[in-house]
Amino acid sequence: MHTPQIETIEVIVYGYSKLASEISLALHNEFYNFIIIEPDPRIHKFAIRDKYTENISTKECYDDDEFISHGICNPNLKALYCLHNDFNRNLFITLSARNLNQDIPIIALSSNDNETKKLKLAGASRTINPYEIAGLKIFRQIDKPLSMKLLEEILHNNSRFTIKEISVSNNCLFNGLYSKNIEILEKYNLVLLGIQDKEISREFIFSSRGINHKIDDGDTIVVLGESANIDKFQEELIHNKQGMNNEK
Amino acid sequence: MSDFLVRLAYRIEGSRTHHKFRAFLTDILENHNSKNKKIFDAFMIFLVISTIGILIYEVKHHIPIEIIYYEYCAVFIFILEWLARYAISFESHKQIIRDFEESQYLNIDYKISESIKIIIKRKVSYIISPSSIIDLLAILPSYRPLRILRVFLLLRLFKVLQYSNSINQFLRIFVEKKLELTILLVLYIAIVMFSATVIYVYEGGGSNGHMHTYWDAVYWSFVTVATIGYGDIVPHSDAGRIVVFILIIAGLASAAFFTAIVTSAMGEKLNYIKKNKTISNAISLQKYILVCGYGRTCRVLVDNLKKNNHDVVIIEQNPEICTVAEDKGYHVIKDDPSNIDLLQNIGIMNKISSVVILSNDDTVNLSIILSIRSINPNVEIISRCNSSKSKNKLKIAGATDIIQLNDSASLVAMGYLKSPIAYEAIDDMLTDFRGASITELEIFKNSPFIGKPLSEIMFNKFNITFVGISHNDDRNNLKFNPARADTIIEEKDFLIVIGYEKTIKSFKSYLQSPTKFEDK
Repeated sequence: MHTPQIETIEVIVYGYSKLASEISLALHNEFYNFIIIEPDPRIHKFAIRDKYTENISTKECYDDDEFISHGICNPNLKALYCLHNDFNRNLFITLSARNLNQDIPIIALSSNDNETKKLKLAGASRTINPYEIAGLKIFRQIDKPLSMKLLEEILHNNSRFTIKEISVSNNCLFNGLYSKNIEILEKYNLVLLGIQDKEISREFIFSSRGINHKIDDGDTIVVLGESANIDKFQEELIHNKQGMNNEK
Repeated sequence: MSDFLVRLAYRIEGSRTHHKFRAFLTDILENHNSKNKKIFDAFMIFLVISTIGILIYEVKHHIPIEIIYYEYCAVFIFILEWLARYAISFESHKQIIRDFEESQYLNIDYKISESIKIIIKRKVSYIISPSSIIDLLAILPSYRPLRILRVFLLLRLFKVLQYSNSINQFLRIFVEKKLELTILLVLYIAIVMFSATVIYVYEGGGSNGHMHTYWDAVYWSFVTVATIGYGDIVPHSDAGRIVVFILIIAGLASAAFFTAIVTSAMGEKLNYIKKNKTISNAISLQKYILVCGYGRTCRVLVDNLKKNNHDVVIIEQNPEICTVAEDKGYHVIKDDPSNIDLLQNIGIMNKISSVVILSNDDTVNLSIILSIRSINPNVEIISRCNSSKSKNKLKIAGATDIIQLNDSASLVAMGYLKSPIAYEAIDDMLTDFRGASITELEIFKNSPFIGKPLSEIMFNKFNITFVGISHNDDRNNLKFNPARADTIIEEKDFLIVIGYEKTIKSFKSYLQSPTKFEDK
């Protein structure tokens, strides 16, 4: 495993909990440049065991300069995962990171509602509660096995169904249309799950809310469909965009 | 004679009516988890209390003939009950078959007298057992020539105890603590006799006008040790008063000793009774989900199952965690979930629809799975897997589905990196965060949409996002957003939809009776 240059670091994983080890493996498999920060030597050895010998740091990063030297202000940075088993450490690092970098998505580990609230206050963009996700997954498996199966398929990238977010630009096919009238989705048999309407909020709004949004430049739509159809749909969008650019 | 009895024994053994009847009697008389027994017990308690009520009423009133007939009926039922208990106490024909087959196997002459001896011994031992004697003494005084034994009718009150398992368990304290209670009794008798002797020596000679015999001294001593002190006999001499001091202290000490023995035993029994109560509650449920372990994942699971009206029973070994679950009003059994006897008692064969095993130790999970599979090879088992290396072993042991705690969490977390908005939607659907959820709705047999195309269903009217349909004949193949005009709805199909709780509720009712929503 190569040592990443600070400028090239795309993801920082703080802490090497069980969840962090799973995510590190996924990052490694998808060729992300990432660094693991694990100050606790007792846990640090697990990362070494998993062969993360080069891209691991044992620094505490409570000091801002130390944190900056690990790339928190790096313009290429795509996300920070705060996944330490010690909640207080996660909270401190989340707050420090948000203070140093306003735009970076911070995904933090939480194990209950109180922790989620504090992490959100500290600046976390998302919190992940593995106990809640696993508990709800089992519940759905018992109560709604068919819908859980579909969700599972969506979660696993290499499966029949997939979910995709599409950013709407000026020359996009459906710029200016209303969300209930996007006919092209029918052509590829896609279901519009919802939209992030920049005029309303940064929150995702499900189509089931019944709001007929006008889709503008800067909005993002989320569609669900069979992976092959989504690929074709994206191809058409690209062709269309290129065509419009050429016309200009 | 011998041949006849052996043939008779085999005929009884082969009789389905006999087995059915015996199973019925056993069910209502001895099966503490049976609903029939509960009804029978309630009926018998009513009979006992009403006949005792008649006895009390009879003291000062003349009772009408109808009531006498009622009492005769009640006693007749008591006799039938005693006979039924007698009949199921020991299966005589099985003893004959066993002895006969043993003699055949060993190639020796079969002696029916040996079998009869054993049968008589077993039957007599039932007749002289405390519960049988209580039954008989409660029945016999009703026979008019034996009315002198009427006081024994009160023994019917003890019959009530037969019908209450909890009271029975408490009474077992006296059997289980026999040694301690015997020591206490011997000590008590020694104190009474010693003090009676001392007081008699000092005051029995005539100095105390109320103490004429040694029996008076024993009576006084007993009443004083019991800290009652009626005051009909009091010591007059200084020596007698000193004896009183000693007696009062000894009395208090023995009362404390007695209380301590009974209280500690009651505490132990209380846990046992609570556990039995939960087991019988579980058995009384139609179908339920068994959850082994009550950790953080389990709390989310059980809360959601309860919210959606599923019956759940939890088995947890840690008493502190049990208390947390009990405080939430859940059925909790404090025991080892890999205990095969326990699993059998709670109805793993026919009462449990799914088992969820959520211990954080894979060896424990494996042991529980094997215990369950040894009894029921078909029940759905969802097991937590703590190390990916154990996954295969848990599957081999018999788990239907494996859950790895961080599996889905890491996929969602990775998704946030690549498509944050899309994964926000998935996370919302997984956690019902904003109230929107993906769900499946069954088409029931009386739905007017059966036989019609999907296009007849007005999804938009209820703001429902249609995702797909799963037909009854091919559950594994989800038809994703099929052409609505070409897809015919059939009974037991499932529609996969996304919507909010309220709209889904209205939509569900619309699927059953669309006419109700026509004007809206």
